[in-house]
Amino acid sequence: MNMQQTPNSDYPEWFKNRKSGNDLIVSPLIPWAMVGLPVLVLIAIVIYPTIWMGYHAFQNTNMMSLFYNNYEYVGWSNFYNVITSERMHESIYRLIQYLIFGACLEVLLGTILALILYEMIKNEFLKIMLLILMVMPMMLPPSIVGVLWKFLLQAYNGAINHLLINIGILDSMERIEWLGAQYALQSITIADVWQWTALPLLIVYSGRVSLPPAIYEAAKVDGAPAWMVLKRITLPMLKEIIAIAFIIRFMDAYKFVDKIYVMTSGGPGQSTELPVFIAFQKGIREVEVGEAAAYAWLIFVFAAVLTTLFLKYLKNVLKAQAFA
Amino acid sequence: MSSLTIKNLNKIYNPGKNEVHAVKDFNLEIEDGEFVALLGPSGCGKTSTLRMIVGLESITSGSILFDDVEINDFSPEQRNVAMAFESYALYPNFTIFENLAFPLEVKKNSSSEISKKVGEIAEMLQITNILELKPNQLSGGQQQRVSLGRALIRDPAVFILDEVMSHLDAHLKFQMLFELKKIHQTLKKTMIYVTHDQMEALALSDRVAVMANAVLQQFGDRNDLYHRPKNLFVADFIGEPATNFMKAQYSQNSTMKISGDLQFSLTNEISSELERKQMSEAVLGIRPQNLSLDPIEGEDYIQGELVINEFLGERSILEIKSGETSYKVLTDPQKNIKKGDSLKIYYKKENVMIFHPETEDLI
Ligand SMILES: Nc1ncnc2c1ncn2[C@@H]1O[C@H](COP(=O)(O)OP(=O)(O)O)[C@@H](O)[C@H]1O
Ligand SMILES: [Mg+2]
Repeated sequence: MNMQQTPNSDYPEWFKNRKSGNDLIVSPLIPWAMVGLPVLVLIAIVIYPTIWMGYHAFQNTNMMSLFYNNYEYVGWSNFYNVITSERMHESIYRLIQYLIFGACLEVLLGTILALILYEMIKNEFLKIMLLILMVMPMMLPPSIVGVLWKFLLQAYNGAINHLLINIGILDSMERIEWLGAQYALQSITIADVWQWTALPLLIVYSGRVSLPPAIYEAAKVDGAPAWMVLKRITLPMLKEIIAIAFIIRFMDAYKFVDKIYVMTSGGPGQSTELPVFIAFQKGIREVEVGEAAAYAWLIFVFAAVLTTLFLKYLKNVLKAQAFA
Repeated sequence: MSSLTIKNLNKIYNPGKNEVHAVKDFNLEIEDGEFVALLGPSGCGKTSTLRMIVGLESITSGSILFDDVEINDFSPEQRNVAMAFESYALYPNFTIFENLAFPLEVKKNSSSEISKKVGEIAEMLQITNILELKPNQLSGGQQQRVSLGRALIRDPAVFILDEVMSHLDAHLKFQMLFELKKIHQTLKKTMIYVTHDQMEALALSDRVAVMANAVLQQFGDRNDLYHRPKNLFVADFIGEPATNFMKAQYSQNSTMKISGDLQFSLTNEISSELERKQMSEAVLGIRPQNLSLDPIEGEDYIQGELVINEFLGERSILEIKSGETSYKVLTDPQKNIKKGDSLKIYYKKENVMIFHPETEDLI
């Protein structure tokens, strides 16, 4: 090895070119170049569009005015239109429905399944197999799950209706229009629950695994019945973990577009539109840029506030458990 | 209330691969209301034995009987035992009060009764001021006392206490031992107290079961263990400072030769036993307490040279050398002797213990 010592060098031995023995000093431009390129990309695809969006939220921009470049300042009227529009109100109502029957159900089912899996299945091999089986839907791309369920739920050739006829719940001529206006949102929710229940399941399962076994032995020796252990010990100790699972599903609910797009495209009519889907629809399909920008801002602010609150909660949880 | 019988108990973890034989052919009979200590170095299988008694660990073979009823297949609840865990096992989401109250809550005691009992036990264990805290806010010693309290608050057939004082400082430990003894005298319940500390075991219990390497070595009271240890391990483990052991040769006239001029006289029983077995080699043990500078203590003596005079306040430990052999003597405080002095050390023949060199059993 070249052990040649450079006199007056402030740098350690490893900071040298092995061959020439010179210090590995580069031109001061190189760091700029290395950081600069990603920053440029970031500016191009995030920062510039955001500013552009911020600007157009206050303009009456639409396809024509964008084309002729003759949009003009309209103040808060885009926001006013969005907030007062029937379409928005209904979509918020639907979002709430989706949160309750989608996210909440996923967390509830996930928790129940996780605890059943942990407490009742004694065979280790079976346990792992079941876990893998239940996690599988989560590994599929959401759009594919959407397509899959769209096929399953077809009124005439769908497997679900066939199944219902075969087990005698439906008459042979009867059909449920799963993707019709009446049930479309519920159908999408079912597909979503099918796919995402595994996430809370995994989170709660790992939470349960990490609870100290000794306290369960203590409870056993004290003679506590199973339901009491569940109510007084397991659930209270998993409370925060379950909340975190819910938060994750809740944050996902905002950007819930994929399955809607694939299964119903927001229809029939506007019966399955959620707020983000409307923003997408307005901006990309109808090219109502001004209003879409206002939508996007409102959703952004609302999501930012909620997320901040959640993160604050998370921090308190971690503090209470002495992690932070 | 319950007597407890353990017959040929065995515990093997992971049979087949990485097998650990944690408890081997364990036999024990504990009388109703007795206070028994299970004493042994850590890793010898004490906790495994307890866990089988409580019902937390499956029994590989053998049986456990409460009042002559085999309870092998009973659930922990049916066995009705109270256990304090070595690892405390406090419920982390409960306050200390709730932790102590939980066993009573399970048994559906009224809330006034619960607060009364919790108050009493907290008073006794000196934890009244921390009842509102959560376990993770407490020191190890405090958690340990809560865990002990959670066992003592119950009214079981048998109390099982696993290393419940290991994290207490000496002063507090002394008070707690005293309290525990008082509780036992009031309740008169069978108690099994596990420890690796012989002081705790000897201070508290009616009888002590000494365990080593998964095997019960000896079950007896203080006197048995001290004066008639069954084997070398017990003689070594019980007593502070440790027994002096020396390799010895038997010579015809009832003496054991150690080396050079150093030799011990034996009682007639032991020498005839040695002759009967035609043993020439043996291990000789004598406790430092049974060696003395005072001729009143015994008519036989050996001679040696003082190497160290360790002065411990109420007593002195002398390290003596005779030829190549060194050993310890426990005496009253000695101030007038110094290193290099030649001393006569007296002993009684009866206190000389002889062990078989291979089986290590007492002759
Ligand atoms: N669950 C287990 N699986 C495998 N080996 C174990 C298990 N529990 C204890 N052992 C082993 O059994 C032996 C006795 O352990 P233990 O009963 O805890 O000893 P003690 O309580 O006397 O310290 C040790 O060698 C320990 O490693
Ligand atoms: Mg132990």
